[in-house]
Amino acid sequence: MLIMFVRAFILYFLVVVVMRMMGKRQIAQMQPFELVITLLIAELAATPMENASIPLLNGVIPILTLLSVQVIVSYLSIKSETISNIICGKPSILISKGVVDQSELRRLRINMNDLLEQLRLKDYPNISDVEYCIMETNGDISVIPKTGKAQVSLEDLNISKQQEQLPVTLILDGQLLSKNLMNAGFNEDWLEQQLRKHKIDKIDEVFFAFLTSSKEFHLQKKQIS
Amino acid sequence: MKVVIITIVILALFLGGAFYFAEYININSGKMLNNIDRLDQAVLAEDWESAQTQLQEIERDWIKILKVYEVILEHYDLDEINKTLVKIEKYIEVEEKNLTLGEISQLKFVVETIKEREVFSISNLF
Repeated sequence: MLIMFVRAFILYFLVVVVMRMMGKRQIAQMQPFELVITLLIAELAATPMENASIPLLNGVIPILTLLSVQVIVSYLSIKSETISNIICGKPSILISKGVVDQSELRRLRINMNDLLEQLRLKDYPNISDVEYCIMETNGDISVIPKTGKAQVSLEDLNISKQQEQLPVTLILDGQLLSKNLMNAGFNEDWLEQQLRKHKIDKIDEVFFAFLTSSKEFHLQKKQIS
Repeated sequence: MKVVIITIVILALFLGGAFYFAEYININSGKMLNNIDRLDQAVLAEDWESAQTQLQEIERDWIKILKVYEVILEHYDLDEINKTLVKIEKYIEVEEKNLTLGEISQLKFVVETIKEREVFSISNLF
């Protein structure tokens, strides 16, 4: 049993390292081949984990091989348009200038109901509001609405506003993130001043504190359980 | 780019390791099969002292290569070889010719199977 425990430990860390090296993508945004590799890695890790008669290398080698191949293929996809088209495919235009491309729908084996469903999910219940609809390589659709149906922006209303910055986390679960504080242009004295305004004496009483995009300080105290 | 280089190095190491271990298994299985043949001859001739010596040599070599085989091969075949060697040892001790020869054939078969399974061939690929 101790053997299984240690093997599970080793394979867990291996899978974590491999998934980190493969890069950051949510499941829904993965290319089909990336999803397949993720599922394969899970299966390959499970088999030697539960069966001590199978050498650990029987799981480690295929996992690392898949990682290597996936990283190399991804790298080549970036460098070569041809390889990218072969591996990932090309986006497909389903609606062009307001007209549904029926041959493209047939080629992709999508029926009209599927298309209408996807448009509704993208908040376009009326197909007549759509100028272009593109099916991306990961299966998701992108919609470019007709000019009159697009969302209004500040530019349309001639309103000028200062560019917003990224919000910055300063304290997380009682721990001060000094680097973030410094990058935001403040120091600990300033932070202590802010905490005193909220009647807080110590940093470790704070659950979460951050600077908004417009440099306003907000915090939430830790709940006393 | 760093990750790409690391993965290329990993692939190169695996390929190199795979060729090395394939050759290692080939050479050691070949040596073991030769020793098994000599054991077979000794048992056929009912030369039990020589058979005992030959078996001990096989067991000594087996213990050395087992340390490597356990890391790279599935344990079912290795356990089979261990079981067969124990049986052969007992049968030689009681000078039981027929049963010894039967176990020697089984031992030879398992060692040959291990050797053939690790060869890079179309039948092993598919």
